[in-house]
Amino acid sequence: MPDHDTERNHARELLRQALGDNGVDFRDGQWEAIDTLVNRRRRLLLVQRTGWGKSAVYFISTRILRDRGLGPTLIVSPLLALMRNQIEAAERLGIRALTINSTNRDEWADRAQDILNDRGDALLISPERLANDEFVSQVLLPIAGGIGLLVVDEAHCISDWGHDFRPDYRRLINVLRQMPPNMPVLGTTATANNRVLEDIHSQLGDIEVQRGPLARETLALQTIRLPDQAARLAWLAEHLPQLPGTGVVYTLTRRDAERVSKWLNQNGIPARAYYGGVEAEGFPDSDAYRRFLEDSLLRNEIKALVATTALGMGYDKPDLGFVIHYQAPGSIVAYYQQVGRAGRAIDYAVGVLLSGREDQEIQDYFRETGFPHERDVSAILEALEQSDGLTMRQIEQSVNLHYGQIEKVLKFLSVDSPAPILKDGPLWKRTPVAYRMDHERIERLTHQRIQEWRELQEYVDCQDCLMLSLCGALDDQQRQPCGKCSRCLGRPVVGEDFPLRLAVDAARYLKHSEIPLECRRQTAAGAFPEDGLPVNLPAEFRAEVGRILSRWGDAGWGQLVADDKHANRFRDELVEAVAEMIRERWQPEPAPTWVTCVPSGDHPELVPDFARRLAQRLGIRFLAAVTKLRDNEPQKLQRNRYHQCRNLDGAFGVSADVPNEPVLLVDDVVDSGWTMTVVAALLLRAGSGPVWPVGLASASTGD
Amino acid sequence: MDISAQTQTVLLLTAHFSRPLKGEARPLSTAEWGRLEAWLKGRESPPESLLNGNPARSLTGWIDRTVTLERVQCLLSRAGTLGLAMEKWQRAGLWVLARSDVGYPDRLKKLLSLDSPPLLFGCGSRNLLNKGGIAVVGSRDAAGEDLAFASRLGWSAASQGLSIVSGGARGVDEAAMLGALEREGTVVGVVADGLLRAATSAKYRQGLMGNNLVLVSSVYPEAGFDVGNAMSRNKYIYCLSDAAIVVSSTRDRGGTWTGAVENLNRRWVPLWVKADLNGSSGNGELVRRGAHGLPDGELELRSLFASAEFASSAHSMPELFDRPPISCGTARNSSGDASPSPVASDNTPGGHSHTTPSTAKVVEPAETEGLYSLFLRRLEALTTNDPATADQLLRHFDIVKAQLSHWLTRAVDEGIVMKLRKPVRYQWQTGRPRQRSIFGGD
Repeated sequence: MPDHDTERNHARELLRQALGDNGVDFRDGQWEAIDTLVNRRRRLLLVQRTGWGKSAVYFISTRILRDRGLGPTLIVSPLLALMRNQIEAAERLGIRALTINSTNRDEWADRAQDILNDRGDALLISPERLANDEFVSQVLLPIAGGIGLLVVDEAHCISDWGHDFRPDYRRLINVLRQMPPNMPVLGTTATANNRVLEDIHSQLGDIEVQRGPLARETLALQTIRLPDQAARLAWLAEHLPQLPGTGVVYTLTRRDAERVSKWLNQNGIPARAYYGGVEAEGFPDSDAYRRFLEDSLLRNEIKALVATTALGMGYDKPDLGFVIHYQAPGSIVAYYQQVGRAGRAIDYAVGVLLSGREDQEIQDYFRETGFPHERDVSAILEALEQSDGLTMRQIEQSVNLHYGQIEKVLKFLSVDSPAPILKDGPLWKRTPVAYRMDHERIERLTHQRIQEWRELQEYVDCQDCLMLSLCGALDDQQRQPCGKCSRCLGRPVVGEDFPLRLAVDAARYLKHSEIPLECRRQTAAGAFPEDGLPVNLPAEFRAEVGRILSRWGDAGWGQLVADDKHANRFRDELVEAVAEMIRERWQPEPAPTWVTCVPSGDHPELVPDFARRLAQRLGIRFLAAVTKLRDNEPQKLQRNRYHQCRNLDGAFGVSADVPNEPVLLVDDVVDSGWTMTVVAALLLRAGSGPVWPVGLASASTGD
Repeated sequence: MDISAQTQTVLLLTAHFSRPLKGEARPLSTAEWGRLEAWLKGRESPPESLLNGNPARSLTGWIDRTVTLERVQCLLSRAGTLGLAMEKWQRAGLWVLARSDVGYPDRLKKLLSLDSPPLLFGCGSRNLLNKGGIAVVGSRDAAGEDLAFASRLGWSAASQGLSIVSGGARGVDEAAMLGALEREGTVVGVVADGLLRAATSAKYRQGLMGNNLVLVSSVYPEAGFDVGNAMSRNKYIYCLSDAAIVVSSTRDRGGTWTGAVENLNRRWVPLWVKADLNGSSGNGELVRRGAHGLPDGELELRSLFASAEFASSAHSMPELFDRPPISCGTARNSSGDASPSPVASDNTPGGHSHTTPSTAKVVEPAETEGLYSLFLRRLEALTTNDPATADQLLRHFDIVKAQLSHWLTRAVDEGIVMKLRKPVRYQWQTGRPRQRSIFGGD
């Protein structure tokens, strides 16, 4: 065995090779970390800020372990790909790094074969891959020579309420617990306070922790309270162009990401929306487009990505000039995680947290929907108990739950250990594990989230150095005020004002956020015995692409729609808004010559009254051509396609003498779109002209 | 459940975690592990010391023809794989016991000593493993009457407070087990493959969740069918019971026969056979070799338990029962091998016949059945869940393409296998009566 100094020198040579720099030496802690992994073969948690050189630790360790004949390194990371500088470092060390994730599905077979043939030194996979039993058994279990080193990137997620954030990390921790002590494991994170560390410790037991300072000296922080969305949009349009370099604007929802991005572009600021599932024409799937967006920002081809938290984990752009929060994140840890990406390798960057009126509501919503309802859980477990396994489609038929809700329950249940359910190929199976919902845990986590939200509020209103406040929340004992933030300076880092003209534009923009309404094309099999609608609706039974004025309860018109629905009369302002939308922007062609509406049993006058006034405003006639034949259950209680279709069968009748002319079909709140689809089909079958569906608000939970 | 470092060591050294691959280090056999374990014990070095630091140092002085240092090191390097596999199995509610673990059945250690399985994977109430009971064995393709008989045995055991011990296979095993579970009786199922699938099946769910059933397997929970495993599973069934009943068997063929003969030779537990008038049945011959014929009518099952000459008797039941006053049936053969003692025929050295190996030698299926049956058996394991393409099958079976096509065509014609299109794949037809078992019965 070579002595310690010789080993260190050898490792230093590898570092120089990796960085292509003959003058460098290890940073504090880097060699110690490598030594812990390759010689003492221990478990180590590295808490170091982004850019400190965590990947150098695992690549050099990989080189050493591979040279000793051990198996490849498995890197579990939410990153879709290694960052360019990491790939270069790996290549200089002669490490063949392979990636298997959702972006390169067509390469899986080849990569798996590479792994089986021992042609890879490091394999980067996402936590989702690791949580996929099929992938594990086909690719990971057969890895030649076993796994030499396991790296868990963003290891704080192990403790970060995995259930709605990264549920797959809950799975990961159980894998770690099952691994014998001769398996070296490296966890890395840039955001872990004492509570998180204690939690990881209590879950993993024997793990060493190495921790460095987290403060980012180049970052100037600021917080601004701007309750109105219009004000924040105006602020962005005014100040974004002046911010250094390129950066990220964080929103809480996908819808807001789209909305802000569109607004910025209208104001001449090149921006793109980025979130899980974002798609664009010309890209095979969402992940490919996300990679493209990430690269666009890396290459500074756009001013900003407007992103949800889907962007952030592991995204390492050395010259990120700014991170703006359009809405406040749920906790300080989350905030540091996001803002800490800025200013890594540049002299100056800004981090501004805008806090709005709706933040609280959105956070409440996240908190309330963080866990599935017990009755939904029971319904699904009961369905599975009666069988040897069910597919998603079969579950949908046996329980009246939204597809997304079912998925959420399945995910929630399947990351427990032991878990009451197990996925076997396409089938979900009930395991013989007794199940009781852990209410204590749910309550504890919910309470913790309330506490964290409070801490975030304190940060927004903090009167002292903001960087000190952040580091304090992360239990990093910084002593010196940063001297850069708005509090240290005693004046704003970025101005808080904006011209009134922009605010008026933004308000109008928010009110013109109408949404296209596409009716369905495929019904659920066997759901329409009475109406006799086929599974594939033929073109002559399909409505045209319609419009929905607003989102239910949203800034803009959505709040008015919600208020008025409860008051049982839609105000004239909404009639005006819809008429303006139709005439000024939508302009359907052939233009409707008459108006009809979807009847309702509960509020027989609400929608017809509105439709009548709209017809009058448009100068065309109103005909109550559609009638309710039976009292069905409210459509909003139908949670998935099968039940939504089934509930509408035989519910509506259409009068025999409908005019063979284009018609505007009005409803108030559009949820799944099934009602519009079915009524339009019935109208068309009865001989009407083209049907233009129009709704006041969308209650779709698709975002 | 967190697994002890010692059990983790045994897992690393003796268990598969997925389907074996070419060129992969072979996990140690029971005998090989026995040698290494004894050597470590002699050096007062616990197995888990192999996990710390340098295994080469811990194994200085170890010399073994098959268990090389390199092989041990390869096996130990599977720590990551072990974590991934165990996580899944534990998530499904499975557990694992090594011989050193509390709860590992004493019966196996006592009767089989170093031949006892190094690991037992299981699911359900493990207390049942030490409770003994009535073993019920028989063909997978038993006739209706035999199945009904097996079910009734299950009911009787349940009402008399005894466990049924069986193999979890289709046919007699399943009938006896489900019979007992229907009446809230307790059951020990020793499966030869597919523990995970059995543990998540609807038919056993209630029994497992109600602590009336334990399923165990000496091979990893996702193992496919393997003749050797099926054979060694039989001995665990006998050793976990107090007495065994053969419902149906075929002379000189299949697992039921081999297992029953082995039990007679090893004198684990008293063996009883159901009277069978069918000429091809092996039951009569088993009686000639020392088994007892079951009396007609209501059975007091405890009366079947061991007398002193059985290995199991020392720890069977608190109250020892007299040797049951039942004659050994009528069909004695004329060879003079008709001792009243169930074990006399093999009592003297050299008394072994070629069909009754004294060690756990396995009868190769090819000797007793056509290769086509073996092919089907493997095909069932491979394609019950997921269909496979001809290319995948070709790689798996490593036979010439013409032979594979011939067999596949035949299997499709016989309705055993479904041919799927776009792309062409083959899948086992579940829910149809399966092919004749190589484990006898007919």
